Amino acid sequence: MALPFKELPEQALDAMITREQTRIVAPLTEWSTLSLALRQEGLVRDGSGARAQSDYARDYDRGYARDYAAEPERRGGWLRTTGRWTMRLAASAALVGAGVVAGRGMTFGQGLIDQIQVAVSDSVGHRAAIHVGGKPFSSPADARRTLLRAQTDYQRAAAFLAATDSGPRIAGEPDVYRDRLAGLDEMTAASLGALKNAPQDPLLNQYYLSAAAAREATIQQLGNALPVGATMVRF
Amino acid sequence: MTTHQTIVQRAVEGDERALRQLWMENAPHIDAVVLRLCGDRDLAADVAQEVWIQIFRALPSYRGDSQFGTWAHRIAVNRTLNALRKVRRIAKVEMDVEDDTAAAPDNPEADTERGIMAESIDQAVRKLSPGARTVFLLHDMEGYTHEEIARELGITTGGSKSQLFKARAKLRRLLAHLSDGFSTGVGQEHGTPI
Repeated sequence: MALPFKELPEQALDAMITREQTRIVAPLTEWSTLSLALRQEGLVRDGSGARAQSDYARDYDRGYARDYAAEPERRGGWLRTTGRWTMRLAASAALVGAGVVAGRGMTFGQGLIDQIQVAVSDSVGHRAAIHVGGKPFSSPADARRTLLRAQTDYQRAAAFLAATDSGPRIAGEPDVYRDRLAGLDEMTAASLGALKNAPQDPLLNQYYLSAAAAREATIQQLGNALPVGATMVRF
Repeated sequence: MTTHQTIVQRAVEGDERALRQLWMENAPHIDAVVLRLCGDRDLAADVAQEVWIQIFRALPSYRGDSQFGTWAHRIAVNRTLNALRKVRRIAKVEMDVEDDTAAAPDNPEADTERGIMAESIDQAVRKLSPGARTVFLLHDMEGYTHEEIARELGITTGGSKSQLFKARAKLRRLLAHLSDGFSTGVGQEHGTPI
C-alpha cells in the first residue's frame, strides 16, 4: 500500500509566491565593475564620475554636491584601505537604528541624541554594543518588532512631514538634509556590501531597507527645504 | 519634471551618478529576478551585468509611462532568457517543455518516501525540471501569459499550461510539510487505492 501524501493548499502556494515576488537580494554586481562595462559601451559620459565642482555648485548650492564629486574615490578608498569596514558598518547600522527610532527629531533634538549611546568596541572582536535609553527589550523578537514598527512609523512620519510640514524653517535646513543624505548614501553602500557576504541575513536586510527608506524620505525633505525656484537636479 | 524623471534624463545623458542611482534603487529587485531565473548565483552575477548594460542601453526608449522598475523588470526577464539561451540552457528547457519525461522525478509518492522536501519556495523551485521551472517562474512570478511564454520559449500554449500545472502540483507536494500553518484545505490527503 502506498503511503498517503499531503499537498500544500493552492492558496498557501499563492501566498508563498506573492511573498517570493517581493523578495530582494543584494546586487549581484559591483558598481565599479558595471561602471567599467558601461564606459566601454560608451554609456557613461567621460568625466561624469568626477564631475567638476563648479557644475555641482551651479546645480546645488553647496555642500552636498561637493560630497558627491569626491564620493567614488572616497567610498572606494574607504572600503578598501581601512580594512575595518565591518566596524564602520556596525557604527553606521547603529546610527541607522538610532535614526529610525529618533526619526526627524534626532536631527533637531539634541536630547534624543543624548539618550542614545553608541559604543563600538575595537578590541572585543569588532563588536558593536548599542544601548538605547528606555525600557529594555524582553527578547530579540521584541526588539525586532519594535524596530520594524519604528521603521514603519519613521517612514510614515517622514513622508507626512515632507508633504505637510509648513512650520518655521530652521537655518541651514537644506544643508542638514544634504549632510544626512550623504551619510545615508554611505550607510546604504555599506549595508549593500555587507549583504553581499550574507544575502539572507535578516538583520542586514533590515538595515539596508531602513537606510534606503530614510534616504527616500530625506530626498523628499530636501526637495521641500530648497528655496523657492531652486530645483533639485542631483542627489 | 519630477525628481525621478530628472535622474532618468541625467542617466540618458551618461551621468554616472544618475546611472548609479538607478542601479542602487532597482538592483535588489531586478537582480532577484535574474537570480530566480538563472537558479545559479555565479551565472546570475554574469547575467545581471548584461541585464544592467541592456537596461541602460535601452534607457532612451523609456518614456515614463510605467514605473522605471516595471520597465526594467521586463528587460531583465527578456535579457536573462536570452542569456540562458546563449549558454544552451534554454535549449534543454525547450526540449523538456515538450517532453514529459523531464529529468527531475515527478512521482509524488517517490518524492515523499525519499523525504525530498523543500524548506522554502525558492528551494522547491530549484527541484523542478528546467522546463517546468522556467514556465512557473515566468507565469506565476513574473506575470507572463501562456501566449507570451509560448512565444518566448518557442513552445505551444498547451505545453506551457501543462508545465505550469505540473510545476504547481509538484511544488505543493514539495512544500506540503509547511501546510500546518494554513487553515484552508490543510492536509488534503490523497490515498492510493490498495
